[in-house]
Amino acid sequence: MSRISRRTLITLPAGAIAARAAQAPSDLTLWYDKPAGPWTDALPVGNGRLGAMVFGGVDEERIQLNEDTLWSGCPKDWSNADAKNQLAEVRRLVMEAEDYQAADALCRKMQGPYNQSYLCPGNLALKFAPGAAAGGYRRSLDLNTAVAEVRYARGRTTVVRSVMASYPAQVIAVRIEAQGKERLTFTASLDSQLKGEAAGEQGARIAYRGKAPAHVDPNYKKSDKPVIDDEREGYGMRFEILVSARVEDGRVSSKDGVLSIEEARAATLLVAIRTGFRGYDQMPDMPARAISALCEADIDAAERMSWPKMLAAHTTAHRALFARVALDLGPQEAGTPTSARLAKFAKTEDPSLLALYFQYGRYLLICSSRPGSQPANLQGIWNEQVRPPWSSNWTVNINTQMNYWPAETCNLSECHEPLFEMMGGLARNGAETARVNYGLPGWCSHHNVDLWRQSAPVGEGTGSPTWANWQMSAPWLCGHLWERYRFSGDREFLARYYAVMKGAAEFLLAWLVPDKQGQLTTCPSFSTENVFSAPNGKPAVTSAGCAMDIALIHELFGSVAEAAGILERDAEFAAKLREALGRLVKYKTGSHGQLLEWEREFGEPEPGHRHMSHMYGLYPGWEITPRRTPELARGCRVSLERRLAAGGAYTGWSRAWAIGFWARLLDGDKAHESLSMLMRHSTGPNLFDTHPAGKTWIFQIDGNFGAAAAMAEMLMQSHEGTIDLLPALPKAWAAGWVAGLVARGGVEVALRWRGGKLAWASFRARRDGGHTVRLPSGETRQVNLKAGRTAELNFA
Amino acid sequence: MIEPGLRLGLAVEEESLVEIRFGDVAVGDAEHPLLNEAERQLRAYFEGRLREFDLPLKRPGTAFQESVWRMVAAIGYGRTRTYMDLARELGSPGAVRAVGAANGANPLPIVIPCHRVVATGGGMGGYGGGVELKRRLLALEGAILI
Repeated sequence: MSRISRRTLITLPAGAIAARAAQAPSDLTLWYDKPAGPWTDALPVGNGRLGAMVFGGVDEERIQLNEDTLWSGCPKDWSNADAKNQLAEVRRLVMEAEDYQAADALCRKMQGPYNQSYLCPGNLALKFAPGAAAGGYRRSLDLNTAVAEVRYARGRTTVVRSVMASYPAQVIAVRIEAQGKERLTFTASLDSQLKGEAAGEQGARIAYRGKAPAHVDPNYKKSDKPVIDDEREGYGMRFEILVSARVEDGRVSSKDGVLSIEEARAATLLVAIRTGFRGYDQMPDMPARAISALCEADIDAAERMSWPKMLAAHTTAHRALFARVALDLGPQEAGTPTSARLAKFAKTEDPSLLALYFQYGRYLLICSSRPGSQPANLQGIWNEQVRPPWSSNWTVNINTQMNYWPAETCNLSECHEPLFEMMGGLARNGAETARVNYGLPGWCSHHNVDLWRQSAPVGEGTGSPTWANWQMSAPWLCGHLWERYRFSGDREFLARYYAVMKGAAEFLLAWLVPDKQGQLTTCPSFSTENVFSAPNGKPAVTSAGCAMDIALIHELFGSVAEAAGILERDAEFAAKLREALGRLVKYKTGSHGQLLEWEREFGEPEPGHRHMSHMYGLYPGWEITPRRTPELARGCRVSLERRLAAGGAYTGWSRAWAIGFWARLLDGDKAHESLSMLMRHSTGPNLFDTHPAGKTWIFQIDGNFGAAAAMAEMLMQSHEGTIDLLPALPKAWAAGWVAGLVARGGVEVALRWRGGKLAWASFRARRDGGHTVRLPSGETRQVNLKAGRTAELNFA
Repeated sequence: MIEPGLRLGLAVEEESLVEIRFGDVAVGDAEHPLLNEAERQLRAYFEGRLREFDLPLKRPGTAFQESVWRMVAAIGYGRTRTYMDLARELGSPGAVRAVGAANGANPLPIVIPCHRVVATGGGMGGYGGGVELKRRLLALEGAILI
């Protein structure tokens, strides 16, 4: 008799299945009843490295392509050895003479060249044979499957186009099916704004081979020759787009760079893109032949998969990340296009649209930042221009960091990795900047980073030092390393990145100078991008000991000292950091009770400024909390109210930050008010976050991420060492469900609430351990968790 | 309202999965590589990460049952078919009830996705794990809204 082995398997609690099931795919779909007009209407797909914007035209489809290593330029020296010769005089001007404008002028002498530009390789254009007018048009993006779809009827035939950027296959795949009697006849071709040429290839393939410019000036710099091409290998990288076509029941041919598909029932186009990028510190001089071979390998491998197999592999890989979190804020109107729901939002509350927006933020992070890819830049990975706004770079005086605010809490820790990878290169270049520019140990970086990991000040001698000279991005970025450790408890990770954190601390320890009272302060110091009125009534930007510097140094020194203890090393260095912390200048409050942004109460020419850096300690930092530091939290509240009353938070990312501040101040209704304003004033029809630009607006992705992170903070917080449930639940979200949020300590949390009251909570730990849970009433409960096991609390 | 955890009993005979039972069944806690693999795949399925199971199965049944289960196994993730549909495909539209009975006798629910077979008029039809669970599984797969 054969032996039978049996086991009782306890699956996820039914509640968790329900949470995932509750957010059915139709709740996770953006859809429209007409094709995209401008680029900012199109729908994004991405696999971290490859991106595409799908326009959905009926007769002519445009699929705008991106590859995340396609940048202008090459590694070069941005150092300014003369900078250190100004440092002592800048400090004297600020700390003794109080001549702030003279300090500004001198800071400009410490600047260097601007960074390079993120580029667009080109477009895939599909032109369909004219036919009867299309009916039943629908253009959609399913966040659950990461497939963009265009669907319309031609007579009795339905045409369905599906576009995805596959992570497993590393290609963009376009599937076009005619469901009915009609057949498909269309052409496919490539175009680009970058120098190069389109070519027909053997078999059913076409290619575009180009070369990126050796230099591109930022869009805000006036320039006679903003784009410089250079024939020399490596001065601007080569790249290739390769497209193949397969048809079912039809013909396909390639001629003069155009693919012609005739009388097909279905066609699958595969798009590979590769560049000559070899690494941030290498000349990107990979020859065209080698790049072609990479593209061919991508296409050859992808062609071996059938469309259903490729689709299933893509969806499975996407959902492995995406399906970890569900949020249900109520039923949605399935029959209304997303753009119409957004327009209606101004008048009618639609919490389910907010849930969609939250999941869209998670979707965008998965699409623009996957292990092995570049980090998400100012536009994630989606850019159609040669000179995009702010070069579509990594602006690290908030924007890049904001992109990663949801990474840990919203259960996408893997998507955080490209940021850490970037920091490795930045720390190496930044050590050179610290040494050459400032004559100091450790590493530092400033406010702009590009593919080549530029770490030095930009501005070319004319930029405002309030952005160009700000040298505090290293500690802010290091905060992400420490947070990753707090969420994961991964000691190996901490050990791997400890040197990066320590290097940032070494620089700052040497950067600190004693003030007249003998306290340690920073000088020059800038409150990012903001301006003050100096005592002479004129605007200035350079001073000492801004609130943000204090917050960043507290966090960095504290975390490095703690990390040294955990890793049992550098006891002496840790002691030095603690000693310096004891001597650091203190936060101050001003005449209105506000937290002071600068070391003294200067006049504020821009009281509604978009940056609110002085409140860093409240959020995304963790030092200021209403419970632990009630006076500073009150100071933040006054500062925030004054900022918003003066027209602050007028950019999407700034509004997203305001939501986070309110959540940390435990004011759910104010958080919701800012979230509503974000939807009304800073969200495009495709739910992209927007940034005003003159009379119009441009896309900037940070607000999408910042708002998703802030919504998570409204539902759950863990920065004080406890797991706080529904700390800032707004009245507008009377009932709802969330599952899969992550608390520090590696606990997945699911919550259900009704009538504004917590009804049920469940916790699943990644490691054994005890946790204190704080209920909305303020009452605490102790839960002891075993790795992989779930515990529930029932309040019904 | 808290739903109790969903419990499944698994049984492996030699190198094949032979049974998945709903409910709180006291059937032991054996170690077997295939039990581990089945558990891994089931958990991934419930988390929405897995769409197709890849497990060796053994499902002794009558020839009729076997032909019904083969059709059921071919229904893709997130899709549904009706009892009537399957009966027609078997060439015996009158055998709707027999199809229902064979579907209900499926020894390997979830892996052989009998929850994807629904009533013709849009109703759920029955399910060994309860209609509520059937509804949830279909919603998990995106086949229906709840």
